[in-house]
Amino acid sequence: MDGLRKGFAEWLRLEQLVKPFFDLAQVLAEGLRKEPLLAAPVLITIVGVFFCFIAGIVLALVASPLFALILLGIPLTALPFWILYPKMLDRLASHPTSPLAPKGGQRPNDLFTLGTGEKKRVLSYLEGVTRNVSLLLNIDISYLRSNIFAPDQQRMLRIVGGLHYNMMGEEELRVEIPIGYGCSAYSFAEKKPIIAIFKQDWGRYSLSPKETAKLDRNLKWIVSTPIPDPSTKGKILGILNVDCLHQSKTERELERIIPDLVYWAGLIGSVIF
Amino acid sequence: MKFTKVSGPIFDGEPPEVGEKYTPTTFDVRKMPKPSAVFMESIQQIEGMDSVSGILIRHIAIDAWKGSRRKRRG
Repeated sequence: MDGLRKGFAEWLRLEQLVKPFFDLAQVLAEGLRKEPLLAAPVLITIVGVFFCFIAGIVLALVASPLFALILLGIPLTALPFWILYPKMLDRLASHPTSPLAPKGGQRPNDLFTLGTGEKKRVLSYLEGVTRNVSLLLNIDISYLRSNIFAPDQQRMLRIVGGLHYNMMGEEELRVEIPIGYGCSAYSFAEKKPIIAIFKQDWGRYSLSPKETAKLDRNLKWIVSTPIPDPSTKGKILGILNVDCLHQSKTERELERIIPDLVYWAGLIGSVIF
Repeated sequence: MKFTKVSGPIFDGEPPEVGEKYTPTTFDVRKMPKPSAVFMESIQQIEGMDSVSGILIRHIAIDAWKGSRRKRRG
């Protein structure tokens, strides 16, 4: 039994080791198919650097230590890779057949004018983020909800029509928050993730009595994460919220989900540009 | 009567510390930790995403935070 466990642990380690190379091979294969003009030089650079490296080691061993200097120059020869590879990823992501590319004819310019394709993509991300939090915090997914708040023309934050997951209360979907108040609006104003936990009330993140009355009485905590605008550094498009009914969690437990939420927020932002 | 607030660097792989500000404008891509295995598992359950590599997904999210992507026109 111990042998089996050890073998499994070894396999897991090996998988972790191989995964980045597998990912790279996958990206290159997709690149060669969709963006051959960019992928080919990247591939040639990788192969070239690899052979230079091997040749450098062999020559350094059999001929002269001076050849070791060649080895030092190899990172420079990889320069095209560092320049071309991100460009290739960009092109792949926006390629019309990529699942990451926004769908629909017209490009929306903010969250309230999303096309049907973009809305569907954002909704699938909301479902994904809820599942992610459910697994990380070991909470039944039926207790978790997610939504997206964005500022309207009156600079009031409200849930963007249809962009919510697992939220049933009609009243709750009509919450309006002035920027600077409540967890979402605070996160929007400060451009940083915020954790709000209900104790006897919401403390600093309390809303007006009228808006508080719209919230589900069983709401225990909210984590708000800004959604970045991919076209403008530092600009925030809206807020990704994940919240939970019935199940309380500590601040320390909720901190664990923030790095993943930042990635989800980035992905949602990438749909809207 | 207690509220809880997190403000801290979230890209260095450490839990955020109260008192330090996280600002996307000072975002440092090199410090962005990899998302959890659960994140990759969850995203690959989304229709059409199972074939997308982890590198590409991470790149898209990081790129959004950099705010350097040119706006496309319809």
